[in-house]
Amino acid sequence: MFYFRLVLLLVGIVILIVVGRMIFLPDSWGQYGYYRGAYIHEEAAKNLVYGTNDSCKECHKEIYDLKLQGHHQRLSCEICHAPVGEHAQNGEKIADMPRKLGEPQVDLCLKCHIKVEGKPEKFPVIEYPKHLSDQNVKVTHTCDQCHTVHAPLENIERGRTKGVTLKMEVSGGN
Amino acid sequence: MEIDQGFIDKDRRGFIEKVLRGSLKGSLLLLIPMHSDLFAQVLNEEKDKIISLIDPKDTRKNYAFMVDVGACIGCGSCCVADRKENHVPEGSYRTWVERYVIDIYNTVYVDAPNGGEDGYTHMREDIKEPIKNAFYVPKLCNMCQEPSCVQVCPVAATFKTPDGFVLVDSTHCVACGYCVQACPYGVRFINNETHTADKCTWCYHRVSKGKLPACVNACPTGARKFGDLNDPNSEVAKIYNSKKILKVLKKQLGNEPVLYYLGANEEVI
Ligand code: HEC
Ligand code: HEC
Ligand code: HEC
Ligand code: HEC
Repeated sequence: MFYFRLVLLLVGIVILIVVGRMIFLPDSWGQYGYYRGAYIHEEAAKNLVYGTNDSCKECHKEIYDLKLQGHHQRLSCEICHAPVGEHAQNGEKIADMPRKLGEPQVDLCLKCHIKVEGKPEKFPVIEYPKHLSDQNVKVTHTCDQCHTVHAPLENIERGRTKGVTLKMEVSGGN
Repeated sequence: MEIDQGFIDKDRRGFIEKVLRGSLKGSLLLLIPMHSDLFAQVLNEEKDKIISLIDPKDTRKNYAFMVDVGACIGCGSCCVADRKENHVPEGSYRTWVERYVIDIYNTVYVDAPNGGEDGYTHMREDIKEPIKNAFYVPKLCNMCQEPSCVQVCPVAATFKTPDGFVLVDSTHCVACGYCVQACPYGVRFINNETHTADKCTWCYHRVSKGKLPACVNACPTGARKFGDLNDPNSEVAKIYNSKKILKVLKKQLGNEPVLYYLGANEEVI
C-alpha cells in the first residue's frame, strides 16, 4: 500500500514535469539547440533600414554612373544622404532626400577629409580652412563650389586637361 | 493517512533506509527525464524537424568579419549606419571606433568620444609629447566560437545559431546583465528601450537577405569587410588564404573570435 502511494507520487511528479515542459517551454525550443529556435527566424525577418547604392540606381542612373567613375566610387550614397526607405518606397518618391548644402556640407566632407592624426598615409586630407585660402578663395566657399560631390576631382581634372586652372575658374566667384 | 504503523514500529531503521532509497531513485528520475524512454519519442520528432528545416543541400557558410586597421579613417560612418539600422538608443553602442595615439615614450592614449560616431575631426591637443603612431580601431561583436556570454546566460536567451551568429532572444532575456559582464570585449549592453541585453548581430537580418552588414556597406575605405570564408572568391577568403597576418583580440582567453584584425599593432590586441 505504502509503495503504491510512493510510486503514484513519483508518477505524478514525472507527469508534472512532462506537462510543465510542454506548457512552459516555447514550441521551437530545441529546434536547433537549447534555445527558442523561432527567434532566429524573427531576427532574420527584421526590416532593413539601409539599402545599397543599387537602390538609387533605378531612379538616379546619371549620378550613380558618374560616382562609379570618380574617387567616391566606394562611398555609400545613403551615408551622405539618408536611408533609402525615408525617401523612396515601392518605386515611388515619398519624401525629400536630405542633401547637405552650406556649412553642414563642409562638415560632412571634413568628417572624412580633415587632417588629424591617425589617417592612413595614402588617404587624401586637407587642412581647413587653409585648403580654401590656398586656392585664393574666401573661407566661406563650400566644397561643391569646386568639387562635384559625386566625383570630386571630375571637373578639376577635366579643367586641367583643357589647360584651365581652377583658380581662374573660380576667382570671379564670391 | 494510512501508514502501516506496525511496520514502522518493527523496523524503524529499515523503513528509513527504504524511504531514502526510494526518494533517491525518485530524484534520479527527476534529474534524467530528458534521457528516459518517455522522452525519446519527443526528441526524435525534434530531430526530424531540424533535418527538414535545414536544407541538406545548403553548403554551410562560414561567415567572417575582417577589420583592416590600416584603412580606417575614423569618419564614423559605420557607427551612424549601425545606429539607424538597428535602432540603437543614444548612449549605447553596438559598434564604435577607438583612436589610438602613441607618443615617442610608448605611452598609449585611447579615446572614443561618442563612440567615434561624429568622426574624429580634432587633433588630441592634450598630448604634449611628440606622436610616434596613431590609428583607428573599429570594434564590434567578435562572434566567438566559444562565447562566454552564452555560457553564463541563465535562461538560454542568448545562443549561437547553427551558422555561427551569437544572438539575443529579446523576448526571453530577463536583463540580469551576466552576459554584459562576461563579454571580454565589452560589446554588450542593456538596451534602455527594450530593457533587455543587446549587442551587434553582424546585421543578421541583412546577411540572411543577402546584404552586407550596414557598417560594411557604409564604410568608404573598405576597412570593414564581411564574407564567407568557404567562398574562395570572397575578399575575406582571399585575405584569409594569403600571407597577410590576421589577429584576433585577447586570443589567450580562448573565446576564438571570428572577427579578424588586419594590420593591428600589439597595443590593440
Ligand atoms: C560624398 C557624399 C555624397 C555621396 C556619396 C553621394 N552624394 Fe548625392 N549629394 C551630396 C551633396 C553634398 C549634395 C548636394 C550638393 C550638390 O548637389 O552639389 C548631393 C546632391 C544629390 C542630388 C540632388 C542634386 C543633383 O545633383 O541632382 C541627388 C539626386 C543625389 N545627390 C543622389 C545621389 C546618389 C544617387 C548617390 C549614390 C550613387 C549619391 N548622391 C552619393 C553628397 C553625396
Ligand atoms: C523610386 C525612385 C527613387 C529612388 C529609388 C531614389 N530616388 Fe532620389 N529622387 C527621386 C525623385 C523622383 C526625386 C525628385 C526629382 C529629382 O530631383 O530628380 C529625387 C530626388 C532626390 C534628391 C534631391 C532632393 C529631393 O528629395 O528632391 C536626392 C539627394 C536623392 N533623390 C537621393 C537619392 C538617393 C541617395 C537614393 C538612394 C539611396 C535615391 N534618391 C533613391 C526618386 C528616387
Ligand atoms: C564617408 C567619407 C567621405 C566623405 C563624407 C567625403 N569623402 Fe571625399 N573621399 C573619400 C574617399 C574614401 C576617397 C577616395 C580616397 C582614395 O582614393 O584613396 C575620397 C576622395 C576624394 C577626393 C579625391 C582626392 C584624391 O586626390 O584622390 C576629393 C577631392 C574628395 N574626396 C572631396 C570630397 C568632398 C568635397 C566631400 C564633401 C562633399 C567629400 N569628399 C566627402 C571619402 C569621403
Ligand atoms: C576654390 C576651389 C576649391 C574649394 C572651395 C575646395 N577645394 Fe578641394 N581642391 C581644389 C583643388 C583645385 C584641388 C586639387 C589640388 C591639387 O591637386 O593640388 C583640391 C583637392 C582636394 C582634395 C585632395 C587633396 C589631396 O591631397 O589629394 C581634397 C580631399 C579636397 N580638395 C577636399 C575639399 C573639401 C573637403 C572642401 C570643402 C571644405 C574643398 N576641397 C573645397 C579646389 C577646391
